[in-house]
Amino acid sequence: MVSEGDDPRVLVDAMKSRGYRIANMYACEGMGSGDRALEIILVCPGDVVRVTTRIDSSFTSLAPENPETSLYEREIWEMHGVRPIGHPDLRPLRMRTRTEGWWPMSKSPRPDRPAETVGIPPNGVTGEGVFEIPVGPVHAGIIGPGHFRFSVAGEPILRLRVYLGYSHRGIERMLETPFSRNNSRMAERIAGDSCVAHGLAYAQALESNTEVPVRAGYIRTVCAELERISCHFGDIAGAAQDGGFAVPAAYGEGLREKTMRLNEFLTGSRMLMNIIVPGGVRRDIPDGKFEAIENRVMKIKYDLDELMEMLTETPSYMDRAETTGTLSRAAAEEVGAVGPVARASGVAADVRKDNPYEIYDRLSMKMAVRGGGDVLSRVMVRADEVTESVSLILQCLNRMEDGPIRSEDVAYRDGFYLGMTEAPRGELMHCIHVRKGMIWRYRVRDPSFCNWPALEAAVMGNIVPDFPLINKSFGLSYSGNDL
Amino acid sequence: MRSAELESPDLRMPMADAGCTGCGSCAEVCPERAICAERGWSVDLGRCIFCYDCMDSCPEGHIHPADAPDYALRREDLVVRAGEAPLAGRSEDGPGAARALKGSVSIRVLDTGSCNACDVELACMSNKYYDMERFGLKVTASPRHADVLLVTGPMTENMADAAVRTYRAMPEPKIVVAVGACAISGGIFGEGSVAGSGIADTIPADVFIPGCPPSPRRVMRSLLKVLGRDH
Repeated sequence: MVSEGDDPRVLVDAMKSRGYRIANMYACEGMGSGDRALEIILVCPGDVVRVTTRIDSSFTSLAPENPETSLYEREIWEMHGVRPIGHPDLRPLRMRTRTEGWWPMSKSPRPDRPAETVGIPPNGVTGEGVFEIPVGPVHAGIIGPGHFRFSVAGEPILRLRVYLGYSHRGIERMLETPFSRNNSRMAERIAGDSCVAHGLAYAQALESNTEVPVRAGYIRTVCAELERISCHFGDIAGAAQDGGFAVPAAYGEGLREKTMRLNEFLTGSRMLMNIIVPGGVRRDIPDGKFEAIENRVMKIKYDLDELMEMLTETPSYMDRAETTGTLSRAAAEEVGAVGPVARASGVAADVRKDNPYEIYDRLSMKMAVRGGGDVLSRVMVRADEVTESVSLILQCLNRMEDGPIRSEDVAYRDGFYLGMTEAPRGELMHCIHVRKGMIWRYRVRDPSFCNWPALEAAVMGNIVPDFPLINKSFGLSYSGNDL
Repeated sequence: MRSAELESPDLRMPMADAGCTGCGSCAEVCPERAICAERGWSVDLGRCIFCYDCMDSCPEGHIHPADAPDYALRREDLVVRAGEAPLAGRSEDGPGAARALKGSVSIRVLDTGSCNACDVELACMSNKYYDMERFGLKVTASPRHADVLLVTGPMTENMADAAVRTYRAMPEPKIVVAVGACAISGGIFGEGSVAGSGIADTIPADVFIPGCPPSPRRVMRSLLKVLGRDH
């Protein structure tokens, strides 16, 4: 933890040259008006560093030299009214209305004044034959709401701008409660299909001073990997569906259902909700149940091979997936992409390996990295990760220890806490600032927040009918991004 | 612990037995404020997320999983009182529009800011295990073609306009189904200032299916019953 005087840019540059990357950036309101802190969290394998800077109503933007901070600074402007001076693009991020003289993260209550609507600006691409196609927020499938603005000349996409925020529920403010209140249920529902990852990040932040029983660590790891398998099957099936390939799409959806039934058998919840609490897990899973699922877990590997064979041995599907929606490694690193999307572009980063949590440091794990950066690479990385998750679960089943499942003395003290997990979509972080027993600032950084800009880069030059396929291969969360 | 009682969780809800002393520990611990322990015990299934924190908190073990209704046609019927049979799901007829629809329906799903868990379960209804298409329940891409609107999410401020347009784009006769705690009551997000308290303040809802998320089985059973297809 480092405190810096007035300008964090020099320190950030120095850390980046030593291999750190910016993983989170946000503002924290102070006790008095105009008294705020700019928080920057930098991460490298084995270390996490927090840089705190006092700011007032503006700061010098880091975005021109560090494009990965661009969205964070837009968020700070929109939510706190703190201007990043020199930021090239302060379009609205989540809010579709603005209330004069008030900012959503302000500690004062929202005034009763009517809010003015903030429109979505045109893309600004002009020329003969250039059209602008608006899509959403209500989309054709069963998916979250979001607005996409395409600029096209014929089929090829010249520019895509993504406007989200339709699922904005104001979660960060709602989590500003007494520290002792159990917010697990809300934390899980930030993004329901990654409830284990979010629940774990929340629990881990609170467990900074607590010893979690080993058995709970194994159970939580099994849940986290089952969630990963379930999400990845859904994403692979989606990438088949939106490539127009019905048979593997149906097969993949069936495998997701099988995994969800496995989840229900083990924990009573198809989506693994309501299990994780700070200190451990709520209910024990009898060893008999673990033995019963061992064969089913091993079979997942064979089911996956059959699914992937359907895809990779069909030339017309490979023609759709190869070289489509390519995200270069340079672009991935520039926008700060994380998770399978980044790993499919050759960025070798995974929280389970780099900053292990739960009992991942006891397990043997291969990181799934591919270099192509296209739709196929993202699908293959997920397939590799399912195989790895099966191995991790079996290792946990083999090493499961007896013992308590929950530590009762989770210590509540003022301070700063951080929980970081590898969600199915990538690196996920919860930061909690506690003052006088109250959560003063709760910061959630879902992996999708980093990856939506990567989608904007990946679709350039591709044709509009390939957009659903590219979007599904990214498999991003709307609700996790919007909070 | 009581894991065994949570088998087939899809069909159950927390319910207090006759020994309840009204101490209110469950009401205090409930993350949704779904329980009222004064002047009798009741649970509001439109708020309940079926986490069973209440069951764990009862000092004398008076809360157990009990058979639950699948859906309700009126919001207030989702409040179930201990010792009384639930009113929900007992009506013989679905909403009037259901009779006019006569069988197959085209379904549009509208997400008004949900966490996506409900959407995942709704998408599962099309997989080969539930295969809702064999019952004539088909998902359509546009609200212009839709008979039934399945709505998830608490109706965030940002989605209100799009939701109203979606509803108005649907031709009559049409049915709106609030799927999950958020759509019925705002769920766990209802206390914030930007998420709504359910969809019914913005678009009229005809059917309420509790759950967080409700399983595909529950949603399918409810739809088939409401459409008069469950012989």
